[in-house]
Amino acid sequence: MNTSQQLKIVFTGPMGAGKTTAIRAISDAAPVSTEVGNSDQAMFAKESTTIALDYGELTLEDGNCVRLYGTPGQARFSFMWEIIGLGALGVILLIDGSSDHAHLDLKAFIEAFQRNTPDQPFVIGVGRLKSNGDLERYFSLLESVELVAPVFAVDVRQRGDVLLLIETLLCILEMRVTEIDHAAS
Amino acid sequence: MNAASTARADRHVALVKPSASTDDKAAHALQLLESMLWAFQGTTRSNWIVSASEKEADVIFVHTGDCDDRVRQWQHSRKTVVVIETEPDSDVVHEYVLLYPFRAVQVMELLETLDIQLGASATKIDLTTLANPDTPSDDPWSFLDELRMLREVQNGDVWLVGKIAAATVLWVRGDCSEYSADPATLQAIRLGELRLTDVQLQRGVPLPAHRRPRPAAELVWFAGFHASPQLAPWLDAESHYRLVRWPDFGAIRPLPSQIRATATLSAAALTVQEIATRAHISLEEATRMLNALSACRLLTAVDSATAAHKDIRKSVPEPAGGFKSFLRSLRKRLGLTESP
Repeated sequence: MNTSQQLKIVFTGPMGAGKTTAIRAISDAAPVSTEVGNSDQAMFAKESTTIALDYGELTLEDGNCVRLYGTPGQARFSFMWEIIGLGALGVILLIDGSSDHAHLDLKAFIEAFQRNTPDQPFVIGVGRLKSNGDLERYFSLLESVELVAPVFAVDVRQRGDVLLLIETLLCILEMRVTEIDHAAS
Repeated sequence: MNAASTARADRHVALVKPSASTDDKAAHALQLLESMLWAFQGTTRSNWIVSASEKEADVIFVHTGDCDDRVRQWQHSRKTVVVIETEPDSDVVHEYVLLYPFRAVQVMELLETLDIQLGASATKIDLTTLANPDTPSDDPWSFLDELRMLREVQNGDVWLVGKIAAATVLWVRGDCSEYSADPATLQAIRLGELRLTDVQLQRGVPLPAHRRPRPAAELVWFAGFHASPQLAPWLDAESHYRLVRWPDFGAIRPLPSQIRATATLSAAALTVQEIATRAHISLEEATRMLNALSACRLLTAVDSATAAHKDIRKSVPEPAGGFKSFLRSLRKRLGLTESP
């Protein structure tokens, strides 16, 4: 399957950040997940985890189909992040704010997806924030890599929060296209 | 010498010599501080000059072992007193405490905080009562100015209460990092139905335990957005602005048009009129968006508009019906508001 020829939105982030939940919130049908029992309970206490992909889709009335891919969270699958990211409309990056290495996760995922697509649109959702001022460290990190991307405090169990992330991605796409068309006219 | 350096204010600081009864660490601490003040010359916002006389000084550093009646006299004559503590387990209570051994960055941060406070008191801004409780301001920016001042002063140890007449309507942390209000007040702030210029911020008791603090960026956003349909006095209609950070829309819960307007500023540097045109919103909404974004310090003014991004259409497959039509269909499918 050559995923670069598909219209797709990628959901990525570390294990337990809520990728499967986010896809489930908007997919036409229950997402196809390739989950297994989590053998890394010490790292993250959840029963199962995605080892290959989550897959959902949205069929539009104009005949187009948007694929929703959720990447596996573990760093050993980082080669897949780059492959899946190729040709994506954008990346919804979900971060677990309660993790001590959350900002390192953010950096690793951005670097991986920007490697092949430097101008990749990102929308970042941070869940389980420890305190109200906690988003600051993510913004500081984005500034250090000269990336201006939305970072929102979200709870992806709420469909409205997932839609906020998608809506923002769509607005970014629309405004980039508008700007380029304006510059060309 | 540039304009910034000529504009630096002089701040006089006195280091009270330790009395014979205090231990050696007190003398070491003051020597270290004096060395740092010398090393910081030219790097701080104001010039910190060591003064031989406590009478001339704006700020007085004194070891905790030498704190006596003089401290009260200094404070009475409106001098800022910083207590140097050399015992790590001490529970000394004072507004400013410098614990020895201290790092240069700590001292520099302290100096900058003191500098802001000295500047604030010079312009008669007092944290005890930030505004005159008897005369609500007609200046639409007065409440936002107070929040901005709190953000500069960075006194996170205190909570201020916001009152209208005698009724407490909200709490704001002294560094403007958090705030709290009851659900009805929060909703009124969001909708612009609470006249924030009527709110008087006063030093108050700590936030009650049952109240959940929220990020104050949210309060600053709504204070900026609802302050006025006119451009804020520090913004200019002809200038091009670019987004340097996105607001936390997870907390703000914006309208789709507000996401669109913010996205335009992430795609290019624009004037307020250009934002209105590109985002298909009214000039008033574009104005309010600029006001809110600048209140939250999320904008920068740049020389001219520049398209910074590659054309996404060249890196994704061509959808049937074209890209714009595809995005419209996707919005419709998800139940999102259609873009104009």
